[in-house]
Amino acid sequence: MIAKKTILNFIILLQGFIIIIFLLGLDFEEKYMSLIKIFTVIYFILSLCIIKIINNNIIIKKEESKDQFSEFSVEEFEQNYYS
Amino acid sequence: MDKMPIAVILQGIPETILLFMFGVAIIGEYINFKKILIVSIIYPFVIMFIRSLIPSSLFGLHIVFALIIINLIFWKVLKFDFRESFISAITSLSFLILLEILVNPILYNAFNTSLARLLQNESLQRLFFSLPVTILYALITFILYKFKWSLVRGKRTIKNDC
Repeated sequence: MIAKKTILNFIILLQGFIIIIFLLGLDFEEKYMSLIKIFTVIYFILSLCIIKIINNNIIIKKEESKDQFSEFSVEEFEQNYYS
Repeated sequence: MDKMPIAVILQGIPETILLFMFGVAIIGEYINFKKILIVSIIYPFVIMFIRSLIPSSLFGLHIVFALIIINLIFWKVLKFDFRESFISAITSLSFLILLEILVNPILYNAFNTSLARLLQNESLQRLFFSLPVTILYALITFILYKFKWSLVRGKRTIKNDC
């Protein structure tokens, strides 16, 4: 799951990067250029928000799985110990 | 980055320091200024060398090489894991380019010049045009680091959450 989300990170960020690089080479009329720039900025901010949400979930899931493992191992240890 | 060595020193090195600081701040880690400074002195000259190899018809290709080099530096020198190094490299570089795309045309219009005309000009006058972007980038990096805003929860930001 984490690997899938990592790939998703790469795809989203690479898309943004490629769009920005293409924007460097574009040469339209000024009013079209300003419109494209506004859309690019919105896209960039949105992609950063998605990245933040994805990565926060990864950390939370890592912490949850650690907790589950530690609780499970303690209980198992106690059961084995008292039996 | 530039082909002129003096411009590399006056513009490239401060810009690179900010680029790496931004990258570290965006993944919520502590800034290792010593490592960043050493890397920032070497990196602009490497890019200058790459730019001298690439023909002018392929202007912009050096950015792809820059992305790969920055990624490697974050991964191998600053010792982040690959996911973090990729996120920080691509975000910091994209952000810098985006700022340049947004701010520079306003300046060119105000001073009635263009990028092509500035690149032909060998004087230090053109360094003035990179100054607003650098100041803005520094300001944003400072705000990110100060208020602990990050995309990934690193060592600094995890402490803040607890």
